Amino acid sequence: MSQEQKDFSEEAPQEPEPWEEWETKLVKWSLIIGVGALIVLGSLINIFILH
Amino acid sequence: MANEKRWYSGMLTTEDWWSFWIGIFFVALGVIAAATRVDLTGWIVWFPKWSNISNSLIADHPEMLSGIASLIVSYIIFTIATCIGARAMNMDMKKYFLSWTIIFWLTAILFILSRNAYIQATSIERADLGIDWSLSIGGAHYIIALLFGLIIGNLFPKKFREFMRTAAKPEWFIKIAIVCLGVKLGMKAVDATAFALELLIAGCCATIAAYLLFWPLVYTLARKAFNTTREWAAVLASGISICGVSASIATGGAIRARPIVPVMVSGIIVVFALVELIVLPPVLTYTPWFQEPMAAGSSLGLTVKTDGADAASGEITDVLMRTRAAEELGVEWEEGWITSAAVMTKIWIDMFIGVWALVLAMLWLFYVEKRPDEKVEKMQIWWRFPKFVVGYFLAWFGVMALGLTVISPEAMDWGVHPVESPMRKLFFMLTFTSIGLETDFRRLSEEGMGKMAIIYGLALLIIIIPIGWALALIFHHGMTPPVVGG
Repeated sequence: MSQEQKDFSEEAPQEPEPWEEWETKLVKWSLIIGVGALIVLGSLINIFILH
Repeated sequence: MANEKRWYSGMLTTEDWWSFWIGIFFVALGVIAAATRVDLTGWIVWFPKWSNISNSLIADHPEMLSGIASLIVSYIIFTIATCIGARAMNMDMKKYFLSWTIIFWLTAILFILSRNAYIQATSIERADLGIDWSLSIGGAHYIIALLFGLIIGNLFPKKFREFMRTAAKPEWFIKIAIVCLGVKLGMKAVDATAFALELLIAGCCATIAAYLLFWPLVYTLARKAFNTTREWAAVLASGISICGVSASIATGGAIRARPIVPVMVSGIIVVFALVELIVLPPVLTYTPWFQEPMAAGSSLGLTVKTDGADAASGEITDVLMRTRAAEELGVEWEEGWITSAAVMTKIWIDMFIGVWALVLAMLWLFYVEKRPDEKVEKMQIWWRFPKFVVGYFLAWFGVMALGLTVISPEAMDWGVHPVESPMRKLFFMLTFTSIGLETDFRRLSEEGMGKMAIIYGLALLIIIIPIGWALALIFHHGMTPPVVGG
C-alpha cells in the first residue's frame, strides 16, 4: 500500500459528524443572499448594460 | 501558513508571484518600446498559417530578424526568464532546463505543423494562401499539443514522465499568458470601446454563484447524500465550486484538513477539467450557444474549475466560434474576446478565495474546533489573493492609462502587440502541452477517487452546469465580439 493510500485509508473508517444547526444556517443564508443578489444584479445589468 | 508572516511573503518564491513578475516584465518592455520607439519586443516569434513551410515562422516585427532567428531568440529569452523563476522557486535547475527545453521545442514543432493551411485555413483565407480546400479546424494546434502531452504523460516510461513534469507547469504558463491578456483589454479600452468594461461588470455574477450558490449546494450534497465528513465536504465544495487547486489548498489550510484531502481533491478536479476542456468547446460551438458567444465564454469560467483549463477551453472556443462565424455568417469577430469572457469570469471567482478561506477559518474555529477566542489572520485575504490577477489588472489599466495620455495608440499597439498576441499564444500552447503532460489518468484508480469522482460528476451535472449556463446567459446574452475593422 502506498503512503498516499495509507493516508487515505485512515479517512475511511472515520464516522461523519452529525449535521448541525450552524451548517443549516450557513447553507440557508448563503443561498438566500446569493439568489437575492443575483436577482438584483441581473436586473441592473439587463437594464443598463445588455440592451 | 507559518511562513506567511509579512505582506510580501512569497514574492520571490511562489509560482503565482512569478507569473506576475514575468508577465509584467514583458508588458513593461512593450510599454517602454512604445514610449521610446526602441524595438524591445518585436523579436517575439509568431506561427502564421502556412501553405509553404518556409513561411511558417515570422517575427512579430519581421524587419527585425528572420522567422527562425526569432524562434531561437524567443527560446533563449523565455528560457532565461523562466529559469530565473525556477531558480527562485528552488526547482532542480538542470532537470528544469532540460525538461523545459524539450517542452518548448516539442511545442514549437507541433505549433508549426498544425498551422498548416490545409488543416486550419478558413474558406475566406484559402485564396490568400493559394489552396483550394481546407479542413478549417481552428484551434487544431491546441488539441494536438494537448494530445501529445497526454501521450507522453500517460504512456511513456515512468522516469521520463516524472522528468518531464519538472517543467510542465500549466498553471504558471497560463497565468503569464493571462497577464499578457490584460494588455488586450487595455488596448481595447484605448480604442474607446465600452465593451471591455461591460464584460468586466457582467462577470460579477460568477462570484456570487461560486461562493453563495455552488459552495453550499455542493457541501450539502457531499454531507447529506454521500455522508462525507465536514473536512472532505468543505474541501470538495471549494474545489468543485471555486477553483480545483487554489481553493482546495486554501480551504484545506483554513480548516486545518489533513494534507491528503486537498491533494486528492485537486487531483480529481484536474482530470475533470481536462475532460471539460475537450468536451465543452465543440458542444458550445455546434449548439445554439453559438448564437451567444460571449455567454458561452463566460459559461466556461463558471463551469471549468482550473485556471489553466478554463483559459485553454476559452481559447479553443474562441477559435472554433470565430472560424464558424467566418464560414457560415461571413463575419470576422475580433479574436480573444470569448477567451477574455472565460478568463474574466474565472478571475471574479479567484479574487475572493482569500476572503472565503478567512470565512471558513472563522467558522471552523468557532463551531467545529470551538475556539472562539483564537484569532484568524486577516492577512489571509492578501496571502491567498491570486497575484496573477494583480498583473492582469495592472497590465490592463496601465496600458489604458498610458495609451490615453502620454503614448499614442499606434505607438502603444506597436510596442505591446508582440506581448499581447504572439507571446500570449505561445504560452497558451505551452500550457496545453503541460496540461497533457501533467494529467495522469492512473490517479483515477487510486483508493477513494471513485466516490469523489461520483460526487464531482453529479455536482457538475445537476448543480454547476445548469446554474452556470443559466447565469452566463442572463448576464451576457446579446453580447457578441466586436467585428474586425468595425
